[in-house]
Amino acid sequence: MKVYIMCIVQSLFLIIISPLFTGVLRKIKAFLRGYKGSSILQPYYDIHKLVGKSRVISNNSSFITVIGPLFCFAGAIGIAFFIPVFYTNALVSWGNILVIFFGLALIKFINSLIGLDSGSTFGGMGSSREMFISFFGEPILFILILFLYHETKTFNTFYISFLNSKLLLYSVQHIMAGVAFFILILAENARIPIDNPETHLELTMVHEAMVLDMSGPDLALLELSSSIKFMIFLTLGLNLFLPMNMASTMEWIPIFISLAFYLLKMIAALFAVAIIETSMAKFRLFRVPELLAAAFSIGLTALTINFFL
Amino acid sequence: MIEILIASILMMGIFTVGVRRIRMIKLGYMLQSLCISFICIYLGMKSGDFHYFIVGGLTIVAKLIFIPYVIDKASAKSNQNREMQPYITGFWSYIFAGISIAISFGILRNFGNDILKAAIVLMVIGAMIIVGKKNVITQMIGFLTMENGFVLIQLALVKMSLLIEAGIMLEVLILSGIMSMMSIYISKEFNTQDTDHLINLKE
Repeated sequence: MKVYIMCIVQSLFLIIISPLFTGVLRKIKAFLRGYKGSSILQPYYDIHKLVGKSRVISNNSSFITVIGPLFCFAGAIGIAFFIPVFYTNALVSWGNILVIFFGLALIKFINSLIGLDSGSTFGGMGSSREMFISFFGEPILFILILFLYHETKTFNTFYISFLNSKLLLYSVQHIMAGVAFFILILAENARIPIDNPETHLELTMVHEAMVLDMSGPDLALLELSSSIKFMIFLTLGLNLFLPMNMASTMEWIPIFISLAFYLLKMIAALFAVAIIETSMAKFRLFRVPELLAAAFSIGLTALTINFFL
Repeated sequence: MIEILIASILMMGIFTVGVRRIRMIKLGYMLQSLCISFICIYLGMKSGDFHYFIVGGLTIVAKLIFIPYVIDKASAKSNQNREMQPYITGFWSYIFAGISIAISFGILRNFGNDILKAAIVLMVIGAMIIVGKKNVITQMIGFLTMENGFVLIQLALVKMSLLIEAGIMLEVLILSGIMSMMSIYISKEFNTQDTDHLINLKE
């Protein structure tokens, strides 16, 4: 029972702290660019401000726009309960990796429907681009799921992170799969070089184009869900491929050490994302498949090495 | 340590296959060579054998200083900085690279040595660069990538004498020198670096 309560507590922690990590990422980017930047609590203030505003919905919109943001938010929160954050245990039976990625794909699908539903040209363009990128991202995802299954003989993320946390030395294929997953994180979460989350330039937007017509509490829910989704991806990346020092016993000291390591690893991952975002330009849309093909190739190599070893 | 270096070599190899800008291909090759020199130094420290340090040092001098300089010169003289129309596009290059690496690992499944496997994969990647690209400088980097694979084979298999190692390095330097001169002459003659134009020499 204690184990299950711990899993719920860590997931609640992830949900609450996700906007803070978004704020930390913005702060690191501001630091790297040489300006002060906004407070790391700014995402919370933004959400508070948006929640206080009234809803504006286009006359052309259907029920998708009404329930879509709520669905995305509920989906993101639901998936957060399926992943290990700083505590893992081989006994936890939920956390099937296919369910997690199916849920994340569902959020993306609803997001695209919201973009199409507003009836504006930009929304449709954003949805079309999102699906185009997703089309190239999914093969990488399946290759990496296959790799993890082949490596650990399980689809359960808690069990995978439990087994991998015992590794003393990461193999060549494990490192390569981790790199492929990192590229996938950038693609799935609309980060540079695939998409620029800061832009509002119509011709280059992907994710922002889909939510361009949203306002007030709807926009707050979408912003929150995309921030939770990003943290779910990063946490999964850290806990599936780099789960060193992860707590697997119900003792306070290992849990605190694991929490400290999780925060350190997360800040390091955000720093890596910030460096990429400040040192690279966004790719042209038709060059994105080349990067994703490279990630696919790396993932396939990792799987092959694991398979033939 | 060695796992990270081998993974980096393989990933740099894969990235080099589909890139069009000569500067980026050169950078990929340089990082690959740097990892190889680190492997040499690591093996030297582990075994205490001095000849690994010599190979590492020669690799740094030849592949991180001399060859990039020659590539820069050839690229600047011919005023071309990217592969314009490769036979195989970036996307398909990556896909083919992935498939050919998978096949290579399938064939090499009974070989226990990771360095040897990475070496064969580098040779396959080098061959893919040569086949897929038209630009003479990119083809030269393809040859040099294959040669990097050869150095790795040498590290994985046997302890060669210093004379042979020095010979290999000299050969690489001469190869890069000749190919850069060739690239300059091709671009002077045909105003391009496309090796397809060499077929006109028949007439």
